Amino acid sequence: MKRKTDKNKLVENAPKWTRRGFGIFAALATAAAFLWKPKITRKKPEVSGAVADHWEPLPHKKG
Amino acid sequence: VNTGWVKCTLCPKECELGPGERGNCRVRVNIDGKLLTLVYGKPCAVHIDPIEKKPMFHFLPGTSIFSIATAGCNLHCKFCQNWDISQKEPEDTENGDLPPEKVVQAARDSGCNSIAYTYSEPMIFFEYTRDASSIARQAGLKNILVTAGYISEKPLRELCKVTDGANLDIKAFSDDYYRNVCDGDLATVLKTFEVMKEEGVFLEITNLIVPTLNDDPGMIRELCRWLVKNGGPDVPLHFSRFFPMYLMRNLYPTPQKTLETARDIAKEEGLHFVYVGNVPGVDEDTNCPQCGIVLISRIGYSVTANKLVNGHCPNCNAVIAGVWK
Repeated sequence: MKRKTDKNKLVENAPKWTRRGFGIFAALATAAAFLWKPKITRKKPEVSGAVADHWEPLPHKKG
Repeated sequence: VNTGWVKCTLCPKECELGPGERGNCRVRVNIDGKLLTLVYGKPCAVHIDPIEKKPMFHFLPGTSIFSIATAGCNLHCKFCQNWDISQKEPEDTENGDLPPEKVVQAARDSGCNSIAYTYSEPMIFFEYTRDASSIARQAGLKNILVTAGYISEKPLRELCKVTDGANLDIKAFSDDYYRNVCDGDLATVLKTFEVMKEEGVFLEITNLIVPTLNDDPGMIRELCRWLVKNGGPDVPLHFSRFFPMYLMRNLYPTPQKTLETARDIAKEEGLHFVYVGNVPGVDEDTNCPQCGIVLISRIGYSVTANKLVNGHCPNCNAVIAGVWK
């Protein structure tokens, strides 16, 4: 059975803006693949400890 | 007005910490406006070592010492030989659960008559060190700090009350070196020496010689002069050999010749007890400063002979500085 569309001609026959869009998308995807690094999330245990000595509150200090 | 900020006053860095923030030492954290220590009773290293390993050559020679450490340090020496615990947060190390009273019990059970707070930096696990030392002293055990001495005067004096001996690491006689290589300062460490001496803590000094960085003979001479002037000629001094480690793997190990030159300088400046560390078989014996006979022979960390009689030379009866029983 003859295909209605020749797949080999799909890109060639596509409008120019579609081809450009595909090119940009491909370039961005490639760049992202190289640049993206997964954020290593280490699960820290609940912080607990004894109250330390030798410290003082800073009542006037603001972040 | 409580803003939730706190200032840690344990060491001269005096970290100002907002809620949830952690100090430069990585083990003191601000939780809800209170400063907590994360390492109290949680050592990441527990060993029984020969006391010569600390190194303490004039303190109960030939005995074993119960040694503990936690994660963290308030200095960040680029050559750190124990960086895998000292430059880590407590969450990154495997920690035991050993409260102070259990430390003392474990030390006694293992036949040790002293405890060393060592490997990383005992000053940053201050409360743990102090409480364990206090209980140990009541139980008749002695306490040794192996420290870089970077601590404020008030907590230092508090700690000295329960400390018998210390190996103080003077990394170089140069403030630039301290600032650029260790993230500290020289004046604080020299002050620690003076305070410990004043408080009656028996001191030995270690100086790790790193090739090209602190091996200048002039600098070594200055250090020795300062020690003789401020501690007297009987302060034992250990020149230790550097091996490439942590962030300084590009340098070669300290040549033996450099260490021998340092030893000669120290003797010229009048120090009586100078040792070379990390080079087995070189300058490990203790000689009588008066008559010259060998008093204590060592091979590596083992004492092979000890001729001292109640802390005196058996030949000329000279008093030898140290804690001998």
